[in-house]
Order: sequence, then C-alpha cells, then structure tokens
Amino acid sequence: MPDTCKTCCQSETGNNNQSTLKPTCSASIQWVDELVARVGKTPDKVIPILQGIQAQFHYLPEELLKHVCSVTEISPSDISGVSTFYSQFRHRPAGLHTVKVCVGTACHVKGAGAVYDAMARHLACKEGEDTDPQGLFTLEKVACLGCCTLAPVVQIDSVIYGHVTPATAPDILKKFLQENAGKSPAPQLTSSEVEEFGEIRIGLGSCCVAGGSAGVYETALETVESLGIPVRVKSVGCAGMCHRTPLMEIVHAHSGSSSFYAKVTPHDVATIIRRQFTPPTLEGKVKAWIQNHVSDLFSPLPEHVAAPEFNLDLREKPVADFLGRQVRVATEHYGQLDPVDLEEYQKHDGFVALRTCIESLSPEEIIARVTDAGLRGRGGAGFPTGVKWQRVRANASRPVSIICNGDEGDPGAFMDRMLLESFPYRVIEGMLIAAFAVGAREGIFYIRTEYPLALIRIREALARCRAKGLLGKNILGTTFSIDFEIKEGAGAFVCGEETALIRSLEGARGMPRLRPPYPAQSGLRGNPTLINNCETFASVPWIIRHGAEQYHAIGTPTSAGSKVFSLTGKIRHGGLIEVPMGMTLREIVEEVGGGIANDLAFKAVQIGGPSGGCIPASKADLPVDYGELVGAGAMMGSGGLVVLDERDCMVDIARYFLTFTQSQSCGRCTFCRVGTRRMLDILERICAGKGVQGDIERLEELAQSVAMGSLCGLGKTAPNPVLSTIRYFRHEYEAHLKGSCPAGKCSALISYTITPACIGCTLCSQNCPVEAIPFTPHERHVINDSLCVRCDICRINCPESAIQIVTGSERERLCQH
Amino acid sequence: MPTLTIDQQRLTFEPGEPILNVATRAGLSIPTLCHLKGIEPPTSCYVCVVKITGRNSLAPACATLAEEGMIVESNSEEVHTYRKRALELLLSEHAGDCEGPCRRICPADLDIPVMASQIVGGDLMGATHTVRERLALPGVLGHICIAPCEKGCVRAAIDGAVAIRELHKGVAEAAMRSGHESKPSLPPSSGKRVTIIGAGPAGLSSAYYLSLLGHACTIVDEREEPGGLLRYGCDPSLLPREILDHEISIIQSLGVQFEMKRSVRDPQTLEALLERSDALLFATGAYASDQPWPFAMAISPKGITVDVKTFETSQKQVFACGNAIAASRLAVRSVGQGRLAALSIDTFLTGQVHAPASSSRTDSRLGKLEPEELRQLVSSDLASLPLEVRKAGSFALPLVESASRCLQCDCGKKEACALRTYSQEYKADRDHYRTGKRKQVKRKRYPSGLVHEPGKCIDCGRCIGITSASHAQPGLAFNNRGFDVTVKAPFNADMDVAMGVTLEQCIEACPVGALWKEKQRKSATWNAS
Repeated sequence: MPDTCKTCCQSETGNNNQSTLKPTCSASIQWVDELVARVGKTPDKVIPILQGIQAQFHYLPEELLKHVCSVTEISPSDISGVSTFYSQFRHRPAGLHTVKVCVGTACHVKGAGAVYDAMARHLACKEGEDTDPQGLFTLEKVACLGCCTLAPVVQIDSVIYGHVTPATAPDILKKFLQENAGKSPAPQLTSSEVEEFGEIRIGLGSCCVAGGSAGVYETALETVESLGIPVRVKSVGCAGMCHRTPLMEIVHAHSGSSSFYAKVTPHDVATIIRRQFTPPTLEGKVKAWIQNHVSDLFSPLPEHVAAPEFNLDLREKPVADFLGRQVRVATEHYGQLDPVDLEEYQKHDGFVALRTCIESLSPEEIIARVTDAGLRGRGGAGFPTGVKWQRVRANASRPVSIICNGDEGDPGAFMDRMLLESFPYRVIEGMLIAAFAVGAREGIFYIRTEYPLALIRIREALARCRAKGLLGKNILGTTFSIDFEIKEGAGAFVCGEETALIRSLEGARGMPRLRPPYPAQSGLRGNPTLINNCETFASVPWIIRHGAEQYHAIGTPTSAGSKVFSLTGKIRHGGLIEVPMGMTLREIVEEVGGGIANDLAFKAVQIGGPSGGCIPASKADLPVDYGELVGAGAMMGSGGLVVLDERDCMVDIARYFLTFTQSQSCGRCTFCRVGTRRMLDILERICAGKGVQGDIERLEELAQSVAMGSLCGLGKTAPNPVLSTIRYFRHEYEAHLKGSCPAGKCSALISYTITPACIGCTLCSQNCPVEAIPFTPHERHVINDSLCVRCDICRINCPESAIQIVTGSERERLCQH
Repeated sequence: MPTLTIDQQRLTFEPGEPILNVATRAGLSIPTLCHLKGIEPPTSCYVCVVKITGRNSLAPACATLAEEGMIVESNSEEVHTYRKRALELLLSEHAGDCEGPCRRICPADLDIPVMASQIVGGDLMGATHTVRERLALPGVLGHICIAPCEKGCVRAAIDGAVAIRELHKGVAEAAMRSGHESKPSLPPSSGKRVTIIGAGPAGLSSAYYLSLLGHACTIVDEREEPGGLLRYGCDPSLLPREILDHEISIIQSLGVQFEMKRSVRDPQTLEALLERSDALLFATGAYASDQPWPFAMAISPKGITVDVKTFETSQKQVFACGNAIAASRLAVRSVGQGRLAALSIDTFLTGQVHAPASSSRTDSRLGKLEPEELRQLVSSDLASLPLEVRKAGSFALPLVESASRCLQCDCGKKEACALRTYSQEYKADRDHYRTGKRKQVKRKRYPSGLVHEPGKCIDCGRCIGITSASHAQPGLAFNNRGFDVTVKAPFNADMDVAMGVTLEQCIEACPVGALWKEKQRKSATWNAS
C-alpha cells in the first residue's frame, strides 16, 4: 500500500476496511479505479459510477469525481450536472446513519411534517446543517418509501419504522442504535423445502418487513426446525392487506384449509404453529407439550393472547369486503406465491402466455389481442398499449429497445414496488411478450433505487429465468432471444416521463425533451423504444391466456380491465388493491377500504398523486375511468389513492403537492421552473395566514399558464392539485384569506387550548417537547401559545380530550384573554 | 414543397424545419430568449410560444417542427398573453436592476454608471460622448447642479454617495483641455429651420441637440448675452463665466445663430418668427403671469400648457419646455427638457421616432437589497478592478478614484438585454409574479474582464449549448433542479476558464446581463467609429 495511506486506512483495526477509507487517500483512488473497471468508462455509466461512490462514502467527494473524469470518458460538466440533478446524491459528508423521514402523501396527511420537526429538534442540527453535532445521524426527507399503509414512516439506514409519531421519534433513534447498528436486517429469501404437512406463508413485502415480518419469519423457521414439523416456511408476496401486517397464513396440505393471522408478533408464532400442526415424532410432541405449558405459565404478558383472536376469518365482513370486491389480473395468486420461486410461478400458469405467443401467435396477432383488450398504459396517461406497440413494431427494422418503467415516483403510491417485489415473473413474462411482439433486442428494467427489495427480487428472478432458458439466447428453445438488465433510478420523479427516463439511461440529467419524435421512433440511443409501466406488462399474460374479450368484459367501455391502487391515508383498511375499472370511488373507500378510520367524516380522495386532483366526498360516486376522472379535474395517474378526512386542510394538500412538483421540476421550461415556484409562494403565504385578496385568482392564472406552457407531463399536470382543490374547496381558500383554517391544520392559523374538561393529570405537560405547558398538577393546564410549536403531542396524549384546536375568530377571542 | 399557415400567411418549408425558422424567413418576428443558431434548441424560455390549431397546449416555435397543413397563430392576443406571462415569470426571478437609482432620478437621464466606468477605464472619448448624450452643458451643471442623483446613490447609505457631479464636471474639463469636444461631426442639413425663444439652459440644450440632428437653429433672446438665468441669475463665483462661455461657444460652433437683444413680446414678431420657421420653441423661462400671452396658446397658472410627452402646445408647430411650462430652479431639468423637446421637434419635422427615455422603459428594479447583497456589490465595485486598468487612462487619478466608488448597480447589458426589450414590447409587469423567493444579487469579476452575475441568469441554456457544441473543457453545466437550477462551472472552476475559447461567444449570446464585459460598457447610441 502506498505511503500516503498509512495515516487513514490502517486504523486501529489494522485491516483495510473499505468503510473507513478517506476520499483523499490513494486506496480510495484505487477503489474508484476498480469500480470504473467493473462498471465501464463510457459517458452513459456516470450514474452507476456515482451510485457506487455514494454507497461507499455516503456522499460524493469532489476529489474522487475529478478522478473519475480523468479515467473515464465522462466530462467534468456532465458529472457536475448529473450529480446535482438526482436526489440520491450528496455533495457533503453525511453522518454515520441516515434518517429518512418519508414525506409521501400518506405520510404527510398522517403528520410526517411534525415527525420531521421532532427528529430535527431531537438531533439539534446546527442552522443549515442536516447532521447532528456528533456526526451520528443525517436527517433527510425522502419523497416516498412506498410503505404508505404504515404512515408516517421513517427509514434509518435500511430499517423501516412505521406509525411513527412526534412523541416516539426520539425513541426510534435509540432503538435503532440498540438493535440495528452494524447489522444488516435484509430478510433471508431461502424457504425451507419440506412441505409434507403444508405451508406457512409469511408476507415479506417491504410493508410487511417494516411491520416486523422478518422476525416472524425467522421465528417460524426456528420453531418448525426445533419441533421437526415437515411444513414449508415460505416467504410470499404482498397480500394487499397492508393495514394488518405482519400477516401469516397457514395452509394444511391434506385438507387444503387455510387460516390467516394478522398483526402477528414473533412471540405468537410458536404458539400458532404448535396449535396448527402436531409434530410427527415423539420427541417433537413432548417438546411442544412442554412448551405449550411453559409459555402459558411464564408469559402472562397482555399481548400474548390466544391465537384465534388473531385469526382473520375470511367470512368476516370487513375482510370479505376488502377482498371480495377485488379482481385479480396483475395481482393474480396474491399472497400465495413465493415471489422468486420460478417453478411455483410456472405451476400457476406462469409463462404459459409467453409460450403461446412465441409458439402460436404472430407479433401482429399479439398486438391485435392487446389492442382488442383495450389495455391502456397504467403509468398515468392511459395511452392505448396496443397502439404504442404497433408504432414501435413499425420501426422493427432497426434495433428496438424495451424498457420497463419502475420509476414509481408518485409520493403515496407503491403499486410498482409491490408488483416487482411480489410478482417479478409476471412482469418479466409480460415484458418478454411485448419484446417478442415489437421485435426488441435489448431490455431494461428501470427501477428506483429507493426500492431495494424490488431490485433484489427482480435481479434474482432474472437470473433464474436465464438458468431455465426463459431469458437470453433461444428462449423456450425458439429463435427468439433477448436479455434484460437492471438500471437503478437515482431519485427524480420526472424520470417517470419517458423521454427523461431515456436521458437518464443515457447518463444525462433527466430532462424531458419535446415530442415528436416519440420514443417509438427515436428513443434510447436513437433506437425505436417501447416503454411501459410495470402494471401494464403485468396485465399482459392474463390477457393472452384469457383473451381480449374476457379482459374487456371487466371495466368500462373506455377503460377496460382492472386497476391496481394503493389505498392509503385516513382509511380503515388501507393496502394494495386491484379493482375493476368502473367501480366508484365511494365503493373503494367505503366498502373495500372499510370507510374512514377513527369515525371522522370522509372529505375527499386524492387520486393520481402530484398530477391528479382531489375529488370531494360529494362527487365520490364517480367511476374509476380515465375520461371521467379527467373530467372531474383529476386523473388516473399510476394508482395512488389517498383518502382524506375532515381534519385534512385542502389548501395544505395543494401546497404539499406543489412543494413536491416544484422540487421535482427539471427546471427547463420557464412556466414550470418559475411558475410552480410562484404558485408555491402564494400557497405558502395563504397557509401562513399572509394571503392577500386576489391570490386565488392569481393562482388560477398561474395554474393555467403552467399547464399550457410546459413541455412535459410533469408541468402540464402540476397545477391539477391546486385547480381541483380550488374548484371543489374554494371556501377553504377564502377562509384562509380571512385568517382561519377550517380543518385546523395550518399551524400559523391555529392555536391549542385546554378546555375545562382538563383534570390536571400533567400528561400534556410531561410530553410537551418545548415546555409550553407549565407543570401544574390537579389544576387546569394552560398552553403558552407563543412557545407552542403545534406538534399535536399533547392533544393525542390527553386522556380527557380536553385539548382543542381553535382557529379564526374563536382563536382571536382566546388570544385576547 | 410542403406548406403551413402562420398568421393567415401560407408559407413553404423544408421538411424538418422548426416553425421559428419558417416565420423568420417570412419576416415575421417571434421573440426568443434561448434559441440560438448552431446549438440544440434549449426550449427553455417559452417566450417563443405559438398556438397550433388542434393542440391544447402551446408549442415553442423554436423546436416544434413545421408540418404540412399546420395552422399556427403567433400574433393573437392569447399568444401575446402567454408570452407576457413568461416574461413576467422571468422578471420575477431576475435579480438586478436595469438602471441605477442615480440615473432614474437624474432629470436629464444621464447614464451615470456608464460614465463612471468609462472614467475608470480611461476612455475620454467614450465618457465625453456619454455625458454629451444627455448634458448639453456638462461643465455648467458640474458647478451648479444640486445633484439629486447623489441622494439616490445606493452607496449613500453605506459610506457616502459617489460624487457624481464632480465626475461629469471632470469629464467636461478634461474634454475642454484636450480640445476633443469642440469638433463634433454634424449630419447633412435637413433643410428645416427651428427658432428657439430664450437662450437659457432649456433653449441652449434644445439648440445643441437640434443642430446635432441636422436642423438649422436660431436662438432669439432679449438680453445682451446668451445664458439666461445661468448668466443673469448665477453668481460668477458659483459658475465661472469661462465655463459658461466655453460651453455656449461649442453650441455656436455647431452653427446655431443667436439673435440677441431682440424682444419677442409682441404678437407680430412672433408671427414673423413662426412664418420663417418650421417649428418654434418657447424656452423663455417663467413668464410673469400678469403679462399678456402673445399667442393664442392654452395656458394655466403654472405656465404654457403642453402635451407632457411631446411638449407640443395647443398651437400647431409651436412647442414649449423648461420654466415656461412649469417654474423650477433646477437647471438640470431645463437641460433635460431641452433635449426631449428637441427630439420631439425632430419627430415632428422628419417623422423619425426616438428611443424612449430610460425612465419610461422597462426596469427590473428590485427595491431594497439585502445587507449581504450590498456587501457583495461594494466588494465588486469599480475599485476592485486591477490598478493597472484604472491608471491607464487620460483622467486624473483623484477623478478615477472617485469614479471607482461607483457600485455599478445598474446592468452591464441594459441596452443589449433581450429580456428588457421584449418586456417593453409586451408590456410585462415586473411585479406581477414577484411573490416570494428570488435569486440573490451577486457579481463576480474575473481577470479576463468577464463579469458574471448569476442572479440575472434566466437559465436559458445558451452558454451551456455553446460550450458543449464546441467541446470547450471543462465546460458549463446546469446544476440542481427546478427553481434552484443554476449554470455552473464544474468543481467551482472559474467561469471564464470553463468557457475557454467560447468565452466571447457566450458573452455575446447571453440574452441578459448575466455575462458581460466591463470594457464593453457604452451608452445607448455611442458608436466608437
């Protein structure tokens, strides 16, 4: 090792531990050289190289970027442009651990802002810094982690915590340090292979893991092994009932009967297994008997209740409503398949459609079938899939590329993540059929880097397909050959737009360009390119197997088939659902979702994310249909469905989405770059109680200009959340201009007050993070309004519901006293 | 050849040609701030938008390809509204003033920052021109002007205003010593005759500019010598007579005739004067209101009533300016009005339209600056230029030192700025979208002479396109996203180094004052040839 390295690399441990490398040392330079040798030197490799450096150093040291330029074909201007475009990249050193507070829509409406503030308060970062003074934690906001049903969600390194509150935020940091620092919590994907007695299915999607299913899975494996029960412990994909994770299903091989357990803790696992299965050996039987008695003797813990109470009876009405109203196309065999088990997928009709296509259909016939089915792009705009394929096919004399768009950026949606994690083979099969139909010669999965599990599963699934001759040369023994590779997105919502996605794959800033030419004519490296969303591909095998007519029979005449939604927000039964097109929003909210949680009133549904709009409860009988939704000022979008209740402020929702689109605008077009900022300025001042007369009209004028004068879909649709909330909730905007927030959300317009119902229990005072409530036992407490930060902790903790939010004239009256 | 229709005009085009090209070829003007020949269209400014029948959003003409049968609207009210809004949005993030407050206050519209820059650059000819563009009597005003400009100086609140009056006085004296100014070149005679009544500051000023426009002028005055209040109302200790005489002699040298000791208080004389002239200008100074008005002109207790823009009286061919229309003790106001009246008379005589005064042009002024921004301006004032630059010229060092204090808070490209030109054309309101966050006023001077003001950048992408097309290394790149997008040199390299051989090209192409060069500063119509 060169001399210069002795100072930093040979630390106390003496070994050359990569994570202790200092950017300036020659071993780091060498490390970069190896990275470049592995990844490549061409300009399109800039993002993978930057991702490699970021993973190693947690930021991008300038010395190393300069070095990259000197040993690759990447120019300094390209590296500076690209590395500052994507959110994933940092340019200043980070703390030992990264705390990412999800500010996706579902998290936002459940109080992510207050969670972030609580984290910031607790970490006491200096002004302008995002890392605590000890350099232990770096605090960041992340657009969406896709665990919307567990909102608000916080991720520390790779551990996800759900249902975080401002009060529990500091504890999570402590818990993380105690339990996880230094070890990798990535779930094992090896299923046990014995299955004589049956199966124990445990959901290991990201939501389930965040809900604690990894621990359940490990305990189940241990129990089965120790008792010698011949059942298979299997990790399965998402069952959609994310509101009740972790989920465990037990299937008996002989009877075929199954029992579903919800909200299982590792603690309960052994009990459930012992009750469900009798060990075949005497030794096992004895062990089980003893354990049953011992656990009953020594576990008087309240959470250790008898197993049947967890049992999710499928005849139970809410569950029946949740599951019964759904149809399964893209999510067929939900919750039953081990996501990466190829044979199992094949046993469930997997790759039948592909074989049919390659062996007995011509590309034209496939395209005709997809066209006849009426399948429309599930990424958001709803362009007819068959027409798109036809246009690409028309250019098949040139090398054609195919891309699966898994850059799900909608904050508050996780359909793509779930499909990629739970049904990797179905997406691959659909994409292979498309590749065959359009004559593609190269294929790319573009998956956002925030979805580590999806990346792992697709990678594994692709490898297994290759091994079985389903991918690569001569697929299924025919002359059809194509291979797929994975490219990781680096954090830019705009890269969901197809031309921006292509720019990103080419190693540039993800800036959309003017169409035409469309990617079908000139896409990746100028080649004709087909880009479809994961869900679009996942719907194709079903259409081929069941025929266009059957698919078209589901849904409405203009919007055929089914749609996957992530149902989140203030809903009782949130989760991943697939419903027939044409179902009304009310049916989804009230029947599938079981209505609003906490008995509050249903106010609106936000559909379509940052491009969509808010449909008020009064218009909720609107069917899910591309045209109908656009007519109502929203849009289908990729499938985010966030339910809002009476405590959600619509101006705040509009401001929330504008904050998002404004930060995600690529910055090209004047109207989008400056216009969205000006809209946000106005919304911010309205929320801060500083709005002026004419602001609503100014917003409308700007909204219309931004929609008219932007190049890509992001800008064209960015005003929708604002326009739809003004359209249906203008009175709320007007109330804000008069100094009142009717929903009691906008902190500048509200105060907290304590009613005579207070019993003086001091809970509020003890929990207040800013000491705004004096400690006065047995007396009615008082909140010091000037100290209060509106974190809501006192209101949540008050056992007598004696803490109220006041706004407008009521607030003024109180302030005078 | 395929055809399309733009504003009802059927035009042919080559396949693959953008709408903008086709329109420009046909002589239609479509504004653009980002399009530039030779680079990939940045399609960023959206000022070139047009409406295409059948499409529901607007299309940027610079990159939208013409198609057979396309019907394009480029001149409708709707299209103009969106162009105006795009300009207003750009103005809302554009951090910098077009003009400095000193010039906005100066009644004669003297381009003070340019004058200061030229003094510091040792450019006597340039400075003389800048001064004489607006002040017919720079030395006189250098002695007696009450200098309202200095009260507006941004530096006044920091460490004292720039001594602006001393600057134009210094320029006038240096020019007098060098003898350079006494031989201004005159255009061919227009054959038009203008009679000016009154040889005071307003009359002298109008005669000076009318002569430069080629008109034959005669000044009629009842006193013995020209100068009006300057001679008969000013103590010689305040205004040395040799200065006044010298500046009047310059006016005389342009061929202006003086008919002194001639009273014009009777209607017959006036009729006769009007008879022999193509235009008549009242620059009489304040008339005592008890005297009868010789002409049938509309008057008010203030003075002769005129059109405030053209200085025309109610009588055809007759104009009035200075104290004759409203009394004031400000000589500089009379001098300024003398010039404006001269331009108006020229328009009346020849139909030639003159550029509006800077005060009536679009100005992106920001109002109060943040303390940090002021600090930045001070640290990059003219004194921050290298000493060898400042010592090189023909001005005395104290004058150069004094001029060096100018903060140059106007814009280095205010005449060439396309954003300003289009904003004027589309009547864009700078405050319409100024609702919050704006860029920071910032300026960095480079040894190459480049001045970089990132706050003024409108992120059009021209310079990036130029550097990338010519593979200049390390080149420039957009950094960040959304509103935070900035043009940057990688790894904090110097901007001029980053642009390499394309530096001059980038400066030329920059549509606003984000990239400019100090030595290229000049006044509006100043032509070195």
